[in-house]
Amino acid sequence: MKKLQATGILFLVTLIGILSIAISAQGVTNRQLTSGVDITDIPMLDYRFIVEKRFQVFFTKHNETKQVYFNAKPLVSIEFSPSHDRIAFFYKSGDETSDDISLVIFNIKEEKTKEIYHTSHASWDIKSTLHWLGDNYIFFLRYCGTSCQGISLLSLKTGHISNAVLSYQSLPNLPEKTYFKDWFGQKFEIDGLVERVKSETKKNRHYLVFMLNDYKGDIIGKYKFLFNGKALIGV
Amino acid sequence: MPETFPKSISKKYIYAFSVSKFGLYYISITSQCGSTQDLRVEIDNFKPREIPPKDKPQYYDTPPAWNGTHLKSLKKTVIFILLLSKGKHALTFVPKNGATINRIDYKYIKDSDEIVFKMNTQAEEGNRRPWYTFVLVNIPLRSIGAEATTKWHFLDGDDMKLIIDGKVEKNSQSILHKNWSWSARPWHFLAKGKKEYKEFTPNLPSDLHYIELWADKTPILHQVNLNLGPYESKQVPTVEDPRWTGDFSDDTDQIILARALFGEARNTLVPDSARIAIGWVIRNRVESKRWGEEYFEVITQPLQFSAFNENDPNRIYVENPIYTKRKIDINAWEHAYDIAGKILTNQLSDPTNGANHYFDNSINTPDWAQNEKPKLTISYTNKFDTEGTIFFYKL
Repeated sequence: MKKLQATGILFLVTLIGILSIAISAQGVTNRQLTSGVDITDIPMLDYRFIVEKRFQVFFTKHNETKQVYFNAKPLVSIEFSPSHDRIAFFYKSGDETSDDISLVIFNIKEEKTKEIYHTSHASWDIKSTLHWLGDNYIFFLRYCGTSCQGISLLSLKTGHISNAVLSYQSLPNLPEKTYFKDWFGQKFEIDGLVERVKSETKKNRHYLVFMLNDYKGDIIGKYKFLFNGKALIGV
Repeated sequence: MPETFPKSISKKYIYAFSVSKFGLYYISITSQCGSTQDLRVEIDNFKPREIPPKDKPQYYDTPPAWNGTHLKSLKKTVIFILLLSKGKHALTFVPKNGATINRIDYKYIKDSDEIVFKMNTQAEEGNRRPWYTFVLVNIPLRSIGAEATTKWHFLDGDDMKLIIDGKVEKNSQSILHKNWSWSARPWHFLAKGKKEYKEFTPNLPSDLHYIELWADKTPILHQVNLNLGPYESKQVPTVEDPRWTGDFSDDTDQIILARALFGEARNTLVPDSARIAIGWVIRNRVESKRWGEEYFEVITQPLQFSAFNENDPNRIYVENPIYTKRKIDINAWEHAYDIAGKILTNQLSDPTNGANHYFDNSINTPDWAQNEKPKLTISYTNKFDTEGTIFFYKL
């Protein structure tokens, strides 16, 4: 019996490894959009067929594309946790007249969902797709004002949100720089403009990654921080 | 054909009309104003003013208006050439002390390569005054040609001059009449008159242009040819159909400013005072010319107004504010458009004392605001039922 259980776990781990991070921001093909599918009804083996495009989530398999929903409401962003045991997604949780978005964690093994964040003012509170930063944190951009962007870090353990700020040069024609004040009060001065923010996990280490652009919008590099739950360390 | 309209007006009069398809149109209006009267016309939300714009807007003493001091009851025709979207439109006549409307015409321009207006009209007897004005609204002009006949009348002759965007086209053939490109001489007295076609090539880019023909005595204008050059009429975003063309430079100032207000501040927690202040931050940037000279340039500067960032969820909303077709979005868009119009026409004054930056204190203070004193603060109740504040700075 123990041997059978071990084989099962091994199979599961291998399967997740093969799937890797199948959810990507690649474009949806021109295949026919037929109808919707609930995220909880998609078999685990088919997660690799889920794609994000411009704040909509689609499931494409056998030349058929379906928009992905949760509780009959459309998803706007989705990402696997670094350990691949959970999926986090934003979905439009309100009715037609609202600006509501909720963040839900779907535990794949237990097939349980839990809403961990909700806003009725998404146009200010959520200004990007979501990203995991380790298995216990999720971050996304939020509104700031002119020449700046906020980054919200949500702790899944406490539900607490901390806000960091990216600010750019106040006047044009100054060197391309970004000033970053992180969630722990540290300040960084970075050469280049940070427009896109993402995360990476390598060898069980979790990194916050800034993609750097010039004024023309061309990518000129990236800036990485190691995240340990208590601080960001430039690497 | 146009419906009826009152010949004499003493107060604001709106002439509604509709067109069956999008495209280039001309709207021709002939009116008269006595020496104590003035008249101006608005087309939808387009309110012609002096070009280039000065600090104090001028609406009645401009080429597209009828200024009684200049006209002294003589007729003047203003021909607007502009793109109109399919649907309803309005001409708003705004007189001062009354005015007379003689004629209103509008027509779809089928061939925009060479637009020919056949007038065959003789000016009424009168001294140097504006007679025809062509108003090109966001339209280029490669060349303009006009055919006119001038005659000598015993002691004085007919003259006609051309003014393009305030600059008189000089008559190189005459020293005495160097400002009058069409001009009769005494030796034309015995002839029937001198009929001349003259062409000018100003090569103007797409913009607002005023092309004026002034008359002295009674010249006859036979026709005017406008060559727009390689011009392709695009769908112009409107409040009813604000889909972008793929290029924000195709937007009117009001549309692009409304997009910015909608993208940045449709959040229902934020009061209108904040939307107005944000709109003025953008206008202050345009006027300072440091971020660009046009509204679309200022608004689309990289990372300045985040709703325009490619990876921002609000980007879809600024490209087409009503793409959801939800009433809440349609109402918010129309409201943003209304505020934008009032900021552009000074109906709403600057509450920010010249601010050109702002941030919301739901996050840490941006680096550029450190040690700076705000020019304005606007508080509102945030979603946690606590006080949120937007700070406005002049840097």
